[in-house]
Amino acid sequence: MHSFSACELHRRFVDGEVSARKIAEDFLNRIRQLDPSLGAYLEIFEARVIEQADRLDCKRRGGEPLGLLAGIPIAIKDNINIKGEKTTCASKFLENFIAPFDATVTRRIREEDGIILGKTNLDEFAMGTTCENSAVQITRNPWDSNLVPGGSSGGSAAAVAADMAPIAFGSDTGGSIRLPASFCGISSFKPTYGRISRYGLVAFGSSLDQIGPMAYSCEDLERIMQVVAVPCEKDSTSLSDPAFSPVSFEERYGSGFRVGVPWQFLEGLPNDTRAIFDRALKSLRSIGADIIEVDLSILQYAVSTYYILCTAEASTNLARFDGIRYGVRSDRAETLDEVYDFSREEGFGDEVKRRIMLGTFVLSSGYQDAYYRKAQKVRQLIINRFNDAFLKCDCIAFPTSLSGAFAFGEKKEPLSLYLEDLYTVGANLTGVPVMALPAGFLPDSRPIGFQLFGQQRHDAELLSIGRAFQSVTEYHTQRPKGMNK
Amino acid sequence: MADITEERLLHLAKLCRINCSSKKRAELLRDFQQVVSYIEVLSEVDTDGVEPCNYVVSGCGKTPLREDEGVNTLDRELLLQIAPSSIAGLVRVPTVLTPSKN
Repeated sequence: MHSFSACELHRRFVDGEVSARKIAEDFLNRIRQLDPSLGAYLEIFEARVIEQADRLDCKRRGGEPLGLLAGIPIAIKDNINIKGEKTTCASKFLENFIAPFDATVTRRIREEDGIILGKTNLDEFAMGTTCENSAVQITRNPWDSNLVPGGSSGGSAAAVAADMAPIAFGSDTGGSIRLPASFCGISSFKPTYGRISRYGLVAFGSSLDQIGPMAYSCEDLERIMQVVAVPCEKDSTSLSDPAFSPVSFEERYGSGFRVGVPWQFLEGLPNDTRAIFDRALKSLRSIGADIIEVDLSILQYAVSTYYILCTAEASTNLARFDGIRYGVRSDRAETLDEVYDFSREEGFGDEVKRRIMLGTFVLSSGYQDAYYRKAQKVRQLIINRFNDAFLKCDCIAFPTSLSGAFAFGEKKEPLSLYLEDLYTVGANLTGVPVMALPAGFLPDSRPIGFQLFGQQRHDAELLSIGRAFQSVTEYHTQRPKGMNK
Repeated sequence: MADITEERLLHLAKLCRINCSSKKRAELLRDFQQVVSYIEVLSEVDTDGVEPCNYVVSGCGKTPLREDEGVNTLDRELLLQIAPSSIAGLVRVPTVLTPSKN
């Protein structure tokens, strides 16, 4: 049962072939069996899951209308609120924080009868590339337990890859959904900025953050997008566009479409990754794509621009963690100043501290124009170049990363980890929708993905291309070995 | 462009209330210098006449406004439950002003 897609589980439940109770127990068993060695989940809501499944079974027996997610188990990254449950952000600072309200995403899942299994691990406050910055635990890559799952949404990626949830939510500020999805061989989608409400997501870089789903197939991503991509009055940056509705690839692109590739920017791509990327382009050609070259050499400045803006926003957003109103207050603190200083010192990990300090630096008097304002201008230039490129094509293809997942502790220097975001941050800086899809395996069997960037607000069109791509490829049907206990 | 010295690092640490323990200071300084020298590459981009980007999705530059109507926000009891310390319906903090010794 656990290897069925979300859509298949829903169909079987609605048709009465299987009970919600059976689905819930099957996934809980799977998690009990595999998660002690993988560490994807920070918390599992066993009692709540069974209770909800029983309620759903009653609902079906009573002939009540069933939601779009009825019978679908879902995992949620632990920086998204579920009322009455902990939201720790994998930080010591929030180890005892009980969310006083539901995120909009959580509310929508409930309204459509989705079953929330538990909360997944992440790099502390979603700051990281490997999930190693979690203050709670290590998450292992289901394809090879010596490898990181990628970050920051590493727990969500590992949960889906190991069939411990057919769908999981992550958040993506600079690639935090797409990188782990690629490292774990699954599909993922970062929608247009504002397409999914950020209400109830713990803020990191507010102008870049976007919640998005992860699953094996684009069909499942489309299903969940219909539920969560809706306008929300509690997030002032939420788009007022009508709810997401899938489009038909045949109708939209049946007569062909254009995919841009920024070849000049991709010059440094290693041969192995390049071969997989080329094969993905070939599959796109087979569904009617015309591949053309686009100039996005401006992206050589993307990582610098991103790290200035995201750290500036993080230093502002994380100022609220002061040990006064919520979170952990240091026991050592005797004066008000000590409450701030000691609580932050004890509560934050090294990477979070580094980013807050860097953000404070780029915003500080005398440096703001040279760094922060400059980065805002370069961001506009990057948006302009993307707009130019989209005049010539429907979507733009990129690799997701230079290579596959790396070993624990392999990359330690912050800068070398920041450079892993080379191909992903462009989508956050420009706000465009982007999906990362499985594209094959490196010679040493590590999975790897590629990305398609779409135009702003063309989320449904982009996912239709993803579905068409997956109708001619089988990478998204592969599962890690040794997981079928 | 910017000279990142230990003194500047300590000043920044004070501004954002991140205690920079002497044990980790050398490592932090090295990482900081490395990252700052990397991001300085932006100075070579010609941005003359470019407006800084304040909102990323085109056609959404304005903050939407709602009617000025009262709504129920979060419950006081619930919020006090998550506060590290509370007293008489308020969040408790250490004494802010101390009485003068005279």
